[in-house]
Amino acid sequence: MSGQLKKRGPTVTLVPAGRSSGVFKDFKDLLSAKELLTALVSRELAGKYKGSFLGLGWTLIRPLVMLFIYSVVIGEFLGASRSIAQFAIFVLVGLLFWNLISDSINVGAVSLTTNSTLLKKVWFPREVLPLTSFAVATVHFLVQIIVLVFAYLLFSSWPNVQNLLYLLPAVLIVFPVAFGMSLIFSVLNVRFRDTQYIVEVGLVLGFWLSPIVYPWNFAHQFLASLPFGWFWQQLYLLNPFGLVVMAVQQALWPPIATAAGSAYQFFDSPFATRLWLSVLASWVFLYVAQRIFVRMAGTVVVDL
Amino acid sequence: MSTVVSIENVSREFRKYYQRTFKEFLTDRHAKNFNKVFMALENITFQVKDGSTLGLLGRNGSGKSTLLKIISGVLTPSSGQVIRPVSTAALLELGAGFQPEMTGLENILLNSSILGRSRKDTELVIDDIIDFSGISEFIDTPVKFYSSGMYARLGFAIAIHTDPELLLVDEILAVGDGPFQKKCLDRIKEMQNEGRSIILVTHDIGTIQNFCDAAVVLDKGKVIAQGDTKEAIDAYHALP
Repeated sequence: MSGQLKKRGPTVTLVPAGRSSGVFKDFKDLLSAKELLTALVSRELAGKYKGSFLGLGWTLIRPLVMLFIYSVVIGEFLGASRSIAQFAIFVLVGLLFWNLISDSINVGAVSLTTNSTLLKKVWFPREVLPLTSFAVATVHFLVQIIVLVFAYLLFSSWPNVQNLLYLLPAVLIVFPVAFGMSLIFSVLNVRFRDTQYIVEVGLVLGFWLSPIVYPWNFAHQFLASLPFGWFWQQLYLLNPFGLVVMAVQQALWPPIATAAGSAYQFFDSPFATRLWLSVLASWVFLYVAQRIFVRMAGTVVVDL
Repeated sequence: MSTVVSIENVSREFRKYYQRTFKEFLTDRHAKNFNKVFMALENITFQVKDGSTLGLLGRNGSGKSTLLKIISGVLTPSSGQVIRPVSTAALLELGAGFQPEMTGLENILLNSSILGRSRKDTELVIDDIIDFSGISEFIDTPVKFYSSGMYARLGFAIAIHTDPELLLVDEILAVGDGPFQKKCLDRIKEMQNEGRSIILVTHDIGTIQNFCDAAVVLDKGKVIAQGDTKEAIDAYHALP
């Protein structure tokens, strides 16, 4: 094989947990592990559907079933489509992004515990594991976009190109918040196995507290009728994933710009400001999450 | 000769008390032994010279494996620091991270990237790896059908082909059958001749005599002797 060892390479200094050399150094380490990330992502994807006939096609089944349930059962049986135009697309848009968020966090939260054999035996930047969960969820998300395109064809209506700009802040919130939460929950789950169940329940709550299957102004009107209504409204809007869902509906739900969508027009400039402030807060959150992760990840191996 | 690994005042403690759930954490926080710790390693300091092979000798529970894990980076020290080459391969647990559903070949690529080797570099040695493992016939079989011996052979073959500056080895003699063991030992000799540095954990005196230029003896987490192998072996025998 490689024969004589050629020259001395760089060295690394291993220090106690929590005395890491800063977020930029950690980021560089993470970048150097991109081959590992690719390998782990393809391992997850290949492993998950190995031996099944549809393979990655299975990832389309869930949104298709959801599309059926929400357009027929909720839309027609329950009559939601009478107050919201193109109800199926409305729900599907929010649902696709919600699946990305909840899949990455749910799997991310257990990413350290399920890979304990790896963690106990090999050294690599530990952030790779929660990041893998996010990347895998992103692949599924991109495949599921097919269902959305299918729905557009079905309704033969397409979103306004200009509105697609709203996807930018949405993505800039989804990544730092979902990845940041995976970082924190994954290390917490090593210490307290309750975490994964709390996360599961929290995400169910998050689903209904985000305007996915109902328009935001339904909640807004109700909250206004409560005592301290303004306070509850603001609290509701603090949910970053709620904002993401609203932004992607603005971008991808065709009736938003027409009279049919007028019941849902709230996207004035305060919303854009709120969205960008939320982007800023999300990246600060990711920074804090990474610091917590580094501090705890050095010691978790003992608890695995 | 310069130093390739420097271990400076490394200590490692473990909590004696262990709780798993948040409830236990809340209720048992004031328990008597909650904050008691056990010192697995205390103020370990030694260097490994470039291109040499160092043996770590000690009884069960002396802290050898903990120290090796700290050098590899899997565990962090509680205090002190370790300076080592980035390019380090650890033969701690062979086949860690094998994906049962994937074939041997796929696992070679995956495992090499876990060990920090680029895809391009791996492809250059992939034939050597398959050759060395001696299981070329089954390389396209999912590893879940492998016997434990085949598993270890493949793991060893991958780890040893990562072109490391430093090799960490824990109890190599446990791998495979006689002929394969001999092959492993020959390969380690070869790596020594190539100028790679090795840290070798064992409680077998024979291994120390055959392979090592120097040795460190650990007992109850402390260094009780270091220097040439003969002195170290005497110190080991003198342990009560």
